[in-house]
Amino acid sequence: MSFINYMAREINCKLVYYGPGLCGKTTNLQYIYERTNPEAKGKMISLATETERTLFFDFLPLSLGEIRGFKTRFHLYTVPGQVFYDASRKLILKGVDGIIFVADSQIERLEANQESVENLRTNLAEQGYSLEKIPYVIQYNKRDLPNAVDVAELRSLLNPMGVPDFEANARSGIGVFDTLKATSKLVLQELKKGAP
Amino acid sequence: MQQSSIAQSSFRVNGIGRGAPAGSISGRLFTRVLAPVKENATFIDTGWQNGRRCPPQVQTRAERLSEARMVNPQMVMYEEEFTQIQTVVDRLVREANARVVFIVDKNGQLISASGEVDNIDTTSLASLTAGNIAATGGIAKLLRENEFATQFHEGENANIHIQLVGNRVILVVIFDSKSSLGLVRLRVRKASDELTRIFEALLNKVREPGGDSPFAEITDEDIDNLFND
Repeated sequence: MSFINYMAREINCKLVYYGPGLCGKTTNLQYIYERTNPEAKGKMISLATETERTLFFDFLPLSLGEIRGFKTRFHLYTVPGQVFYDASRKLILKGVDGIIFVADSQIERLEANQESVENLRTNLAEQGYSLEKIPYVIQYNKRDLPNAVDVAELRSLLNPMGVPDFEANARSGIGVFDTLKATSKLVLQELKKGAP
Repeated sequence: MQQSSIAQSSFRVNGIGRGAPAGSISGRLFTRVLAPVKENATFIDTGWQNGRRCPPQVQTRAERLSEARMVNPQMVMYEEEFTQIQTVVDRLVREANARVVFIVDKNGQLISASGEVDNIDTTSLASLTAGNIAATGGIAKLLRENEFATQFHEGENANIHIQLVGNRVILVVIFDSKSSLGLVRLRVRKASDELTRIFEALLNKVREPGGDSPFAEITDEDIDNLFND
């Protein structure tokens, strides 16, 4: 849930990067962190295992600028992708305003992507959210790899609702900011819709 | 009603005659047993009792969303309440001899801070504290506890006392050897009561229909302009 602070004239929103293990959620955040002006970002926090796998979450606060005198601040979170961290994933989804699903384009990970979307759907439903209602964007990551599946096939498997989707190579940054911008925009539009 | 470990799971069914997600055997069972099915209903598995499966609770999407909003309404902070909260927080710093006191929303948004905040990354602390409370809440749920409302971590130089207030916000006190756990607990208890009242009044105000929102005046163009490079 967003937080509107009239005193500080700030609008705070929470975006969550979801997806199967090793799909590139943390890499997305790292690229955003590296390429953002110091005044627009806070410290990036990664709660990871010794082998650099996300254990609980990564966190990056970002300022996007002002709308009508209100500073817009987005808190970006990633979830741990490994199947057995499901309890932690549920916790990160609490109070989410928008979701970015990072899909791994490699043919070997097709099933893992599908399982992760189903898991997202279930975990959202448990908290009273629905994927159909919440601002939702899909990123097809690792497009540079030789074993990447056609986007058309990924789209038919993972994006039956036709939400905005982007091709990406998070390591080199292709598509990373496009995905973030599209999601942030959807979140603000959704908040506008809910305004009296 | 006794709840098993699967009690938290839920199954989505999109209307009459359509199956549950693949692999969800129990979900399929429910679709056959219970007809007619509410559109976009969620079946909340209520587990087993005395060797028999309890009837599942049925919730429509509207009911579910409305419940979620009741549990987790949008946080809005107005000047009047902010001043009241800040007064409580400022006083707590003095009365508890604390280094820093801050209040965080359960979703990790910093609401108010006081004390030596210049030397501390309050945004990161807010996010980590909320994560900590969320994880502890998850443990409580597994142990069938409602919440563990208080946490205390003792360091060599700094100690941190974390208190859940009104099951909605988190009150964090960082203190050193100039204070003591007893004093902090005493002062936190008093401040918690005051904060609970303030946040209840604030939430009631937010729920009132016709409240203004900065988004009421924002146009699509304003949103587009934010993303122009």
